[in-house]
Amino acid sequence: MIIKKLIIKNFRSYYGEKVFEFQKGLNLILGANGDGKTTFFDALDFVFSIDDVERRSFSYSACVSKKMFSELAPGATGKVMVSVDVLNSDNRPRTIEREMEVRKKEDGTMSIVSSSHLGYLPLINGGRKTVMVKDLLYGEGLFPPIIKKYSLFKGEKALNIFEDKTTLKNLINLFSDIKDLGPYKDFAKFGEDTSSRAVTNAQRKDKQAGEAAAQLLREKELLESYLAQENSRLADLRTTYSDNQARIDAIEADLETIELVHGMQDAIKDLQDEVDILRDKLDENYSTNLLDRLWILNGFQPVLEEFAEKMSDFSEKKQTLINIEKERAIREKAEREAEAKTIAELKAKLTELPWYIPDVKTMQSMLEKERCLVCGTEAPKGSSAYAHIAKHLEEALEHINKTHKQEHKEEIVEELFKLRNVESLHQMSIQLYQYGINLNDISAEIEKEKSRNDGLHLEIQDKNQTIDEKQTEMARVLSQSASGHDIGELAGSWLNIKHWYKTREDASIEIERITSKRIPELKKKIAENTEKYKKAVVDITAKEFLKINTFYKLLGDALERAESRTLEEFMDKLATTANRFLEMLNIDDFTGEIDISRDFRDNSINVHLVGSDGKNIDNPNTSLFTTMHLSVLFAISELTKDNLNSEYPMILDAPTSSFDEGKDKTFYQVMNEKLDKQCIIVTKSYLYKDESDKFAVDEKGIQKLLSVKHIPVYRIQKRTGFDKKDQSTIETIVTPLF
Amino acid sequence: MEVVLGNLYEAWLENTNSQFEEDTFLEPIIKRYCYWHGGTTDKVDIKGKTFNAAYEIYIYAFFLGIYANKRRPLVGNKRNFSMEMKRWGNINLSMFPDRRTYSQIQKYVFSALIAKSDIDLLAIDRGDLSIPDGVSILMRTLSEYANGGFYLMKEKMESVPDYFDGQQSFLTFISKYAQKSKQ
Repeated sequence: MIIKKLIIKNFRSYYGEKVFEFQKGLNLILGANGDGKTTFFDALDFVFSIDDVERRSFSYSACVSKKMFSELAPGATGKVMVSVDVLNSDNRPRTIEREMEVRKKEDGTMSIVSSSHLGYLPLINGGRKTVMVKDLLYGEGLFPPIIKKYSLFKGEKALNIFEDKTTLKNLINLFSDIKDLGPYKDFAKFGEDTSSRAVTNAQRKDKQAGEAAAQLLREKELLESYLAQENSRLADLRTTYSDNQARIDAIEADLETIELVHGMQDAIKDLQDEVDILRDKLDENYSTNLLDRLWILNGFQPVLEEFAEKMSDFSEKKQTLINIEKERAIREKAEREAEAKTIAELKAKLTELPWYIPDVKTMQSMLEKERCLVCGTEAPKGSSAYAHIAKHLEEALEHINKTHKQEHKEEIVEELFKLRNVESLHQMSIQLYQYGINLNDISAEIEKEKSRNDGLHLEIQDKNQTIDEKQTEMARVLSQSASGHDIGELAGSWLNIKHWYKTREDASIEIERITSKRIPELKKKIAENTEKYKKAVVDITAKEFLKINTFYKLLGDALERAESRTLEEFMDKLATTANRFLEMLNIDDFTGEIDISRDFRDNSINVHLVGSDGKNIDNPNTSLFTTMHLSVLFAISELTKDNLNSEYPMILDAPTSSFDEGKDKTFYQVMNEKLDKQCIIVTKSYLYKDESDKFAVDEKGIQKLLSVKHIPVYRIQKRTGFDKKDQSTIETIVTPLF
Repeated sequence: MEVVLGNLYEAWLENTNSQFEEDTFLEPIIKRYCYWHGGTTDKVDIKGKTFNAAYEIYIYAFFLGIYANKRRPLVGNKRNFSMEMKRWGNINLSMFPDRRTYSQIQKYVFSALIAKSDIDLLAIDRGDLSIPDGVSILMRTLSEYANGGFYLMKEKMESVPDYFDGQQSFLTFISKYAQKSKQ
């Protein structure tokens, strides 16, 4: 298929009718960002897609030109259309049109009045015949979706088609006969199994020999069950491998950034932990420390001295009083002793009283009985005898009392101070003064604590500043990531990511062990067993069945080898063709080549650039990498041409966006010179910013390009004077150049 | 070396009559900086308070009064904390894990009261002045010095209302008077 003409009408920013005409070879559409490059690409996708088949649907209202719709009067209708004229593989003209009619409702909203997607064949009379788009795209093989998948590429990254693991299967189905071998393989397997059973049944007839064969058969079945287990395990491991590979592929481009951010996150966390520890060390409870650490006693020394002095005074006074009292007591004691002497003498006298002088008790009895017991005469109350006795009794009692009082003088001295508060408080003052808190140290302790806290604050401040710096640096790194991944979150899941690598690696090692060792070993044992079995089979019928069985086995093996060889041949052919394109497009004069190999771990295709030393070139520059992918795509396109007898255009949106300045032009120069297939490229190459900061066409560059061969070049750009906030003012204008 | 204390100190430890001027200080100072009726319920109410129990700011006011030599008789409504002196400084550490007990403070408060009051200890020991009367003299001294301290704080807050909200304000304020006291 060759695209001859494209009409875009009122499709998004393509207001009114815009026409592009194309030819075989290179076709360029030049536009800067926002000029409508992607819309051009989407318009082609729109007209070549069959929604229900491709299980997608365009948003119709989003396809309508806002400018066109804004100009509609309420109730009026407008038409949106994309039409493409092509030549099919037989060079017959075909047209596909996808259009819709929209109405502006009274409330200003949009309704879809009608839509159609139709194909047309020209008639001799100048008219045209309507056909189903499906019949053209599939039936006639104009542009089947599977071809479109490898023909339309939006952005540079999409060029690496082998990131999609279904690609190999798709390509094999498209271009090789391998898929046709499937029924034959099934048939061979069926024949082998059936004949094997027939051999066994026949063999059973000869019991003796049958037993040996049956034993061998049981061993074979066992070995085959092991093989089946290994194959099943291999399939699981391949799934594990490819699942983890897909995860890794999705983030691999960001891996260095993720690791860097992970390191930063770790460092920040460590610093935050350190800050937490420092904060824990802070003791800024200055108010409660007045009490808890008795800092409140900072001014207490003079008070304590006052207390001590006062207690000392009290103590001294008390002691003085006690001493005075003691002296008095001593003095009194001396007097008492003198007195005691007199009393003793008196007592002595008393004891020396004549026998008729009675003792106190006798005299008290005499007064009671009113009779003198000495002389025996009556002594009634009021008589002189009674008075005489009473006088004697009083004198005796007075002496006795006096003696008693003197004996207790010492106790009175002790009772002068009943309590000992002065002593105990004096002792308290001494103790606080001598053994209490060192009040003179408090001031220094407070200052030390303040300075310790200040030091901690400085340390915390330093660490927080480092945290801020690291966070800023991390934000900068994150902002530079253009992949769309949440790098911060991925970095937080660093352990998971490492686990993906580990699981992939483990699976890879196990796959290698199973494919290179375990399965071949089992196959060898099965083969040996089969040989023994053949010899054990003695029955004639069984021997015949065995020959049939051997035939089917050989057939199966042959088909398998054929499949494998076909696949290898396909990859060889793909690589050879791709390398031819690489050599042609190579603008770096690079001597390496594209290596296309099958990854036994997940049955996918690996595409690498290999240096002359046979080693992979892991980090080719972007332009080379893109050229490599383009070469593979051109190779696929070439294979399509060979296999399906039809060729298809390559339509690429911004494939060279990451090329260094100038390299893209060389690239297009080469393409124009050497490419023999239709390639429509939308690019901002050949545009530069002029003095007024507006994009202008590099006319010299274009002239140089066209000097090789004249090709269609279109300039698309936004009409100036639009309102940035109003989409209905945006319009893409299309200008054919030269 | 354990000091065998006499009745006066022990009787003082049992006393609860540490008074303050309720109208002047309860709301503006005590409740503002202390957990009023603290030590029994949850910790939520304690947040944002400088001190836990109300007697803590009372001790602060007392030492402030002592260092500034401000003794001021109480006027108006009087109130006390209903808490024996012996329980001051016994912090509930399970409730306030950042704090420490400071029961040594009683001896220092008591020694200041002896130093600053005109109590006649000889009369006490002689029995001429009863222990309760002696304790009463000491508690009046305590209340009047604390009152002096509270008034100093009040004056400061009149010129700088949020002065004591600062982290180091209580320390800085008393340190000034403590230094003067030492000179």
